[in-house]
Amino acid sequence: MRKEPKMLGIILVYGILCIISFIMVYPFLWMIFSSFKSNFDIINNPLSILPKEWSLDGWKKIMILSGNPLSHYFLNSIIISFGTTFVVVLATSVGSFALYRKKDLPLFRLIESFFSISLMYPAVLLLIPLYVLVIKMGLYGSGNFWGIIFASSTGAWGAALPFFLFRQFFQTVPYELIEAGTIDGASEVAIFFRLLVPIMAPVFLTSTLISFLTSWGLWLPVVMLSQDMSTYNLAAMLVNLNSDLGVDLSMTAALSTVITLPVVIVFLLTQKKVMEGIVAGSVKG
Amino acid sequence: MIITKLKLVRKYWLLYIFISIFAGISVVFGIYPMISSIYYSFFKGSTILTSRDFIGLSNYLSLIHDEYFWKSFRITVIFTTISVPVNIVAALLLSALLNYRGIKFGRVFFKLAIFIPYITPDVVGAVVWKQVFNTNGAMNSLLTIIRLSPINWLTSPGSAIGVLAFVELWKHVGLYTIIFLTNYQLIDKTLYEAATIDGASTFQAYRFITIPSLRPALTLNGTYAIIQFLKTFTVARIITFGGPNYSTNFLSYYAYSKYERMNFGSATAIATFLFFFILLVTFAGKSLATRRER
Repeated sequence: MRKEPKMLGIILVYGILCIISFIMVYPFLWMIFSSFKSNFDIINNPLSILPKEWSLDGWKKIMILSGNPLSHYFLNSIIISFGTTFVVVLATSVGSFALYRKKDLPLFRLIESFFSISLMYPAVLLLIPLYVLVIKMGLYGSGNFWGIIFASSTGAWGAALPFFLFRQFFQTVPYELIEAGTIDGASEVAIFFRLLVPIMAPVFLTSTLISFLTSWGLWLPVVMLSQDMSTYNLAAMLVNLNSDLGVDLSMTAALSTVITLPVVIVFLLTQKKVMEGIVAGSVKG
Repeated sequence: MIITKLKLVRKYWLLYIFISIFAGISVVFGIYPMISSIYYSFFKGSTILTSRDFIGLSNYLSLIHDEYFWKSFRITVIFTTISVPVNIVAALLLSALLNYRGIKFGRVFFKLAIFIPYITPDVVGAVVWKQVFNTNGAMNSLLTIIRLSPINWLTSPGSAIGVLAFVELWKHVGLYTIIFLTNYQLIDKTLYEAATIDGASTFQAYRFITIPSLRPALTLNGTYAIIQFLKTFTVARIITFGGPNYSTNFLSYYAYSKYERMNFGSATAIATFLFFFILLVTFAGKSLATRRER
């Protein structure tokens, strides 16, 4: 048997882990409590986490941002992240099914390698040609979300992990299951919907969650592919707020809290699945 | 040959419908903009949207004479060279701590605390840390309390790049840590028992059992980290805007700032350079790793 760990070691390890965990969650504490401080309080007592006097100034000020109500940007965050998640999950699930069924069909391998290469290109820099492309396709304009959603659904942003998860899932599907379907003379559509979809619930769920978590806070494609603020989401608005001279700290804190809470809540409720999915997707990628 | 291919396409046409959306995002929004980015780099700056003014390699030649470009390249490489080992070592230590047998309760909490920055929107982390490291922010008042003199974190070149390295560590170390942790849990526990019977010390067991077992995870994390740090962007855009004195003007931010000034030709030339540099480093790293594994 191995030696049991010593008391001193246990205390030391706990101590280190507590300090590190505090540093990791400090930004969350900062944004939540600073959102209830006045700007004066934030500047003059930077070290105290709790407000000296609770104030709702920051929250009142973010209710209207650049002439639009906060709900406008929140709704846009939902439209962009749900739209991206839908496109990503649809494209990668049926796409990797097709690749799994007949990889040797003309063009199939080429499409897959195009996808893999596009993962390597720095996403930031893909936006310059995407900007030109989106204008050419007529997807650029006030209130038009399509350019933003398609750009966010590429391998450079959201699609990589879901694709690897689906590919990995299909590798575990027993060959006999599909054979049985083809002997019955079932079409590819029937094989997919009758044989596979019923057992795909877990991988659908994981991909959807990861895709939502990664697309909720996207700001660069939003800022670059929006003609005006009609398509800005919360994250783009935070960048906008932060670019002004003389940043309003309580507003920044309140808006950061609004952006962060949805992802943190979804993550904490589903943490085991999400972490396993991210590790699995990364390892097989 | 062509006829058999056509027959295949006809027989499995449904699969082509299945792959169409995936092909769309890989080709139309993936490979096509990549190639057009490379194509634009041979044209004059701001003319891409309206007319095409072919100037050959001029954009690349002017980069060679651009001292800011070389500075940008140098700091990108330095930042990556320092950040990659720091992140990997930190993740190794954290995963060893999380895997420590003495921890009976709280393991899930620690794991979540370390991982949660990874799923937090990057702009939020950058905005908050920017305030913490501000001249009159929390970090400086902490220094004052322990009787050290405050530092101009974001306005002096050396410390600004350090702050960015710290924020990137905070954001990404959780991913590397849980990848290591997953691998730890796959190690055959009887190996350790055998080592103890043979009289091996804890350090020896770590050196000769743990590290070799983690080698695939090390290769994976290393490759990820190199690509990720060469592409560093958000922190430079939000926290320092490339400054002070261009000390955090990473290649991707430099290209972006060219784009903002509508200098598309120059921006895409930098982008193309960075892409091929990443490709080169990744392949070099991969072949090195596979040679070692043999």
